[in-house]
Amino acid sequence: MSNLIKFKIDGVECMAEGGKFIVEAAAENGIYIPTLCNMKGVKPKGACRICSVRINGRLMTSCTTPVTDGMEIESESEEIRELRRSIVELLFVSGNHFCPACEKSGSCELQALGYYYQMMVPRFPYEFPQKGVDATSSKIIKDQNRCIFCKRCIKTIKDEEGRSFFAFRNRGHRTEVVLDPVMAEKMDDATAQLAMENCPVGSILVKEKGFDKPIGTRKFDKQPIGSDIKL
Amino acid sequence: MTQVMNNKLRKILDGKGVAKDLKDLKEWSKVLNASRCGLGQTAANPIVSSLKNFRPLYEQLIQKDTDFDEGFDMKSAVQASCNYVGRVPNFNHH
Repeated sequence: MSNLIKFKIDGVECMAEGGKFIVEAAAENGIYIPTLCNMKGVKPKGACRICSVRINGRLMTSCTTPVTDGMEIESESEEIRELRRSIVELLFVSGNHFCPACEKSGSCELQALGYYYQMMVPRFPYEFPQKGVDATSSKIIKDQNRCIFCKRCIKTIKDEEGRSFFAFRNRGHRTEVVLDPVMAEKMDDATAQLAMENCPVGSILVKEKGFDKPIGTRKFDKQPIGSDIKL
Repeated sequence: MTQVMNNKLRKILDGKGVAKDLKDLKEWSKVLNASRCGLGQTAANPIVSSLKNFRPLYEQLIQKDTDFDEGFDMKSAVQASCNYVGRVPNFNHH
């Protein structure tokens, strides 16, 4: 704790170790910045743009920007809130997210953010893209309808030799996250469970495991997302 | 976002746009400012700048007498379905 630096988030004086990413530094100071693709202990990607903040008049992702001394960060202004809300709405529009029937409902970070931003209905027209479900593996169901391409599974679910179980296929709006069929056969139960937990939405499901937590005990049933950080 | 805006632009080009669609296009383009790369950040520029400089051309394309285009004619749809099952439509009832 030698190189403590001072910075401001929405005018609130904060202190953190220099070189930390803004999301972590804000969390240490009890300020919640929503994230979807970011995960503790994993190299940040800055893809979902939910954690966008305004620094020096520029929009930056707070999961990839380290704090510097005297930095002034704007995070909860009306403009930024509106931007984050429209990104959540876009994610709902560009996939097929039917929460009431989803196995991950109540533990889903995207759904929790929808509630957090009090989204009633997306302002954008639904696209209803045609996407499939891959259930060929013996352990895992990969539902492409719900995938938001956060890359968390690709980065975290690896075998002992460091090879990823998941990978991107195709490009542009045809991108899919797919499970390697050969490696999937060797997947053990613990890895499958971890993959399901690491997925922010309900795109990766362990077979025969759906709806295992009763309503009332799910992750975001009692507390909205981010309440473990907020002071 | 680009996909959503593309769909909206196609709606206007098909002659089904209303005044709100032009407003939406301008408003929604702001989301792309948060994009990760320069390609994404500038993706909406053709729409934004053509809206700014050639607004009359857009306004020729949109419908002026209505605020909402349902893209669907109830009467003809009922007529078509009645033709199919061999019934007589009752338009006065509804």
